[in-house]
Amino acid sequence: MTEEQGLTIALEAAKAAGASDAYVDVARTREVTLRRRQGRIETSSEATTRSLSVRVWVDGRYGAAATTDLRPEGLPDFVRHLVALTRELEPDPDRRIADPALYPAGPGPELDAADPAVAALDPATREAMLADAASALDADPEVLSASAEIRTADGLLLVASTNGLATRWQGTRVTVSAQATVRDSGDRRSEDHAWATCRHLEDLPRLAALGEEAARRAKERVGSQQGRTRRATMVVEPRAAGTLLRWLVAGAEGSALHQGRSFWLGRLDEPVVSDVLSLTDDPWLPRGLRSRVHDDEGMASGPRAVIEGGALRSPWLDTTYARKLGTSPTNGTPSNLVVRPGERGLDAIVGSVEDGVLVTDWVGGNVSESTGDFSVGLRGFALRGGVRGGPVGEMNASGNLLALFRSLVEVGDEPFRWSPMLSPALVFEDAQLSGC
Amino acid sequence: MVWTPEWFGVDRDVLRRVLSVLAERGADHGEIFLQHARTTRVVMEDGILGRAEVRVDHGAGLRAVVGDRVGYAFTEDLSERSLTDAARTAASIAQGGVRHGPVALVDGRPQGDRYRLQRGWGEVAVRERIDLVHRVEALARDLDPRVQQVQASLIDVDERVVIASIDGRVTLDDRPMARLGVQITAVSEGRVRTGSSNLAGRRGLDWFDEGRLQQVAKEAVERTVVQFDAVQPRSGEWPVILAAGASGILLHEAVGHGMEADFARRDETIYSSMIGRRVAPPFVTIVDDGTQAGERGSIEVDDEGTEGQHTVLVREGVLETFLHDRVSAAHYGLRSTGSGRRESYRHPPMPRMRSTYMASGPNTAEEIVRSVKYGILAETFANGQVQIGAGDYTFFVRGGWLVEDGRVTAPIRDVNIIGNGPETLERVTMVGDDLRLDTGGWTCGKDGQRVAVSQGMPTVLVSRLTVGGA
Repeated sequence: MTEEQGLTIALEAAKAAGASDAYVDVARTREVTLRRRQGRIETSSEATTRSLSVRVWVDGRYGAAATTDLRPEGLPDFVRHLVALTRELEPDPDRRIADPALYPAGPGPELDAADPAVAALDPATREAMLADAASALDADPEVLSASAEIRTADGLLLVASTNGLATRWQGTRVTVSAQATVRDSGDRRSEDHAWATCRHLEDLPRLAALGEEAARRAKERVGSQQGRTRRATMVVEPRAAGTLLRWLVAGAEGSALHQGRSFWLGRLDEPVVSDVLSLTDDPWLPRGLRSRVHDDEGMASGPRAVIEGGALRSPWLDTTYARKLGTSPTNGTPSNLVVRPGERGLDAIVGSVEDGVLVTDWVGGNVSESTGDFSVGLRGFALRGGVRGGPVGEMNASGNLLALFRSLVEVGDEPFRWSPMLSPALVFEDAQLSGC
Repeated sequence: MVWTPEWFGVDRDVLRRVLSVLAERGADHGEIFLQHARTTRVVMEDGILGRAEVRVDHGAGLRAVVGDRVGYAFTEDLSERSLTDAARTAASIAQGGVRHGPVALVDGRPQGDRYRLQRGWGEVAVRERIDLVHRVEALARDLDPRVQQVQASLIDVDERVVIASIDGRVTLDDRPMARLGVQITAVSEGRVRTGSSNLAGRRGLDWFDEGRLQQVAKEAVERTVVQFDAVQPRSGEWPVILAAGASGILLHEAVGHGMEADFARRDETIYSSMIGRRVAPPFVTIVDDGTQAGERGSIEVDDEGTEGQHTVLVREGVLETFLHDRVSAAHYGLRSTGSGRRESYRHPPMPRMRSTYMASGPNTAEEIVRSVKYGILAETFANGQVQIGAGDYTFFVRGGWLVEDGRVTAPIRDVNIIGNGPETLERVTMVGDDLRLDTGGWTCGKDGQRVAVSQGMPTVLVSRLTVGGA
């Protein structure tokens, strides 16, 4: 059965069973993973996965189902059961299929999401790429354990609804990573990794640089000390900045706002963070990791200023929660989040810090959704008199996320490229740090 | 209901032929993992039970193992042609050897009673699920006038697996799972606070009786409204008392992950060469257990077909064994501890925890609290993480209490606690006599795979940990 046939069978079965509306998508992804450790291939995995998901609206009631069992003889029954189950639920007038007027009017911008070269990678090339990525590690006697991995995905997504949506999306992704463990004092080992992930093969960096970076980072961490408890400047490396941004925007969406699980509640359009932060949701970035023509309800996507002038301007609102909140939907989920870069590079920023830490990674941690109070483990380097000092770890940063982002004084000049959170370094003044 | 591998539409001759293909290039071992899992979720929000979701995961994962090397493939199409293609892909990791597939298959079905239910979830009507969620929602709503919103949900999983090994063993298992969750939003004097609780286990509908519904509703509401008065404790290094129950998250992060033998085999964990060494005081015994009735982390068999076991990681202060799957066990010349688990047919198994807890010790909870001049008592938790090599770990405390001059005083909330695994074990100074397993629905993530786990703890005092407070 083709994906198109699955779509048609499911839509027809939903209508035949009495659904007033239905939204169906069928996804097919070929995934190949190859992992090399200590100079040879240790794991090889390959598969093509398919799944079909159906949402139905029946007499004002809503139900959804997904399956990987795509045998055509079973699909109509699967959908019929969903419709029957949905009839047993209670009607929720706000749960509706998206307004077709909000569907994309045309094919949308060229997102350049698929690279045929990714799908065409043969096993020998993959092995050679891994050998490149691991070259600095294999040759290094200080490295106790080293691995490199290449993971590719080649995906197709078809969507159709009873109220007129019909789209087809193709995309590829390639991720190459390297990991290194070196000996530290006693039984301690120091570990770090580096990675790159993108849609087109040609956008990958020089692969050997990944192994070099993993080894360098692991070695730089040897002899890590616990820093002192104090308030100081906190510089967050681009690769770690995404976590803070994810926490910042987690409550800026419909269900959280409606359920009162958001520290943004009652603060829309109020200047509550530093105006140094300018955050855009940009689904039209060519080759962007979360670029898209429509969201997962079918609503057309487009660039939107989310945080501007220190205020949350536009939260993510799907059909259901926009109705519950008495407003208009935007898009239900974030796409690529882009922070407007600043002027200076990380070295220049570090050069002007009197007392602080440079955060390279977060360890655990969480945020209170209703208050924004957060507390998170960190590791990185001491900063003193404009110079990067020794490695620090076993420390926490804590406070209130809105207050932290009020103390954002500078943004670096270069975003982390290998994430849908495209953030440069973030510099916070007077952050609460705890250690010894 | 008794069923056979044919239920998947795969007959025995097909299994045998596909296993032969999997073996033909000289695999040491390997298996076909057939899985069919139906997950049903019903959600009540705004007083309306207006959302239901069903997910069916149906497929087969095929693995060939040669020494430490793994070839893997999976397919959702269980036809002989597709299974054979997948077997060939997985087998390609092996080169040059020859091995014959099984001549005959021998079925086994675990006879234990680790999954406790009178009726499988496949036999439960939607109406019964809806009634249950309605009941717990009403209980929570009526408990406190400050409760403004209640979201209640029930997730259940009706799962069947067949594990057919190259050596001819075929193991069948039915694996139920259920989780009832309550999320609360409360408002007082214009301030909003949120909290939650849940009850989870390898249990059936019958387990969620009136008493348990009242318990989960009460916990969710209490954890929310207490936050109106809660403060973040001061930042710094303090004694930390771990309350009996969910505090087992400390063991999970500080000890458990570092004891997974795949990390040890690759020399990546701080515990790599610590077997046989004293790592904690003699009153500390830490267990990873797959055998307890009804627990979320319990398994009759792991995902390689090995029986789920009771594994002592630390016996009276001495590190005793890592957690092994078949790959790491072969590396060390040991037997698997029944810890080879996987998220689904899409993933190969690896050593994972099941239910991790510390055995009861000599002290009472009262003695432990009395001994602390200034510190915190950690009670409810959100998440944790560990760096295997350095042994540095964290866990996030959602709620607990300040302890001042030997007495529990003000409620606290939202602090991350950070420590080093081996250092923390050395700093365990008192262990209570009140071991309690947590019934919350914990899920552990490793290398992109999520599996259900449990954890437990008696009241424990750690003399010093770094608290990320105000």
